[in-house]
Amino acid sequence: MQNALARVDVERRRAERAAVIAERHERQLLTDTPGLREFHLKMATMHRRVQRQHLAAAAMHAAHARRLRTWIGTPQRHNALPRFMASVAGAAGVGSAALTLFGPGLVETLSTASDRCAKAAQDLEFTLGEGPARDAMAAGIPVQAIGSAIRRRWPHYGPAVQRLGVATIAATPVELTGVPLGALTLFDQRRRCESDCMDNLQAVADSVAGMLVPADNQGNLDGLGDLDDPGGLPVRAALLAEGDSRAIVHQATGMVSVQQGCLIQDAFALIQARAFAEDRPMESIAKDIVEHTLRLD
Amino acid sequence: MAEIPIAGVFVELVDTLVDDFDVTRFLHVLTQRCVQLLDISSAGVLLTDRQNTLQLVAASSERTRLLELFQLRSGQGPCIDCFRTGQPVSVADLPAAGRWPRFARAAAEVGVAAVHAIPMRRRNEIIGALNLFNATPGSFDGATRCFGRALADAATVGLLQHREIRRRDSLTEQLQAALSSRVLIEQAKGVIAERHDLDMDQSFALMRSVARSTNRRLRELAEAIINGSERL
Repeated sequence: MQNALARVDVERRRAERAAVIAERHERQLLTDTPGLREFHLKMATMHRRVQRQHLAAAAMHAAHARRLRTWIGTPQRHNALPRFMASVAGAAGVGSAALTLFGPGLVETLSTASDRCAKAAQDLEFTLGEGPARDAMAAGIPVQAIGSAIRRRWPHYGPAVQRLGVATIAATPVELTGVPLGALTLFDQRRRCESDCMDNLQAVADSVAGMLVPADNQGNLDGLGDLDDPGGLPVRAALLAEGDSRAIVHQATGMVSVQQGCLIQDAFALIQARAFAEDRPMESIAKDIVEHTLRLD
Repeated sequence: MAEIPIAGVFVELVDTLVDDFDVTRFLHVLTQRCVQLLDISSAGVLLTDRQNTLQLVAASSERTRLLELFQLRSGQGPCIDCFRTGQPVSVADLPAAGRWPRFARAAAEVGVAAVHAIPMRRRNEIIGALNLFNATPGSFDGATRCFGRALADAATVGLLQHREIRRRDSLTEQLQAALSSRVLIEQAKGVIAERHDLDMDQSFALMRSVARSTNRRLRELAEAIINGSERL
């Protein structure tokens, strides 16, 4: 928790610094020569974006610190550590949020969600191979659907996610220095208006992207070995540790590729097809395969 | 000194967020601009590498570049002192000053009589030194020092910005690689488990020992298992 509180200060100070620089450029925008106007506009825009990013980060850390304080103060700690993603959803002003990271070929490498609703939605997307995170990642631009537009845009995923009570979906790519890492998806049970969702989404996504790599000169990442130990971690490690790498699905895929004598991608498709046919999450089918209670023959 | 060219130069130095950014070219341009805008004969710059050691050298003329190289190699000179202390070092008459005897001799050989070294720093980080040289002795005037400092500051901001982008790029790649490795390793675990009738822990243990004995990284082995080139 101390960590989270300290980070709130750091982020607020960074936000202030960015604001000061942005203001300077904005003033010079008005007084300087025409030749420099483009430069000042570019710099002001960049620094305002950085300011919003740090303000979003400060809000998330503050919310997370509050949750931790409440959790620590609770006599019986039934629940797991408060999820940082819950603070991300709060900062974005919505009910639920999901972060999905992708590797080559749009293979999910990490999924982390704020609550059961977001997790269920993420699992749906994983099983059906269709949905907002994939679209945002593939297209590289924000994606949005409200109400009936949801099932029009995603014929399979749409109705299923609406059955979870979701009425508004907005997703945006998460990238660092222009390299796409994944997508941040927001869900709300209420119908929200367009500007509402997209306003804060970019700042929150930028902020989360920044949290995925170490902020200071901490040299190289040692694989992901440092992330397997939870509790009181810096946010980056917490975010990645909270995530689900869907290990069991990938293990089952390996098994099926041997059982059926087929390629990994085809084995994955077989598991997907079974999950779809039985209306069960991929994880559930995978568990049965790994425990030898199911063979896809 | 005309206004517009100077303003343009500042923009040039700070706008480093371009795809084809090249540090050596950037430093060379910096020294050229110094000579164009300030009342000096030549300029040089020393910059640190990723290990924070002074390594890179650029200058407005070949003779000046050799002088800077000389400082770097001998570890002695006004620019070196400037870098170490983070403070400007100004010498109006090198031979008369009696400091850095070897450097003073080398400077005389290339026709440098006065030097003004400006630290390239941002808050507590010192990344190098921008060095202004004159062929005739005499202290550098206020405008030269002031504008020299501004150019050094602009270049420092530009360079630090670029370094941060490069650092993030590298870390992002590593993160991507680590995450996708995890997928491959889990898939390979499944393949081995099914082939040899093992549970996942046993399968992983087998993979680790094979990786060790064949001196390969787990990810490489996993890829080989999946594409069939490793018939474990």
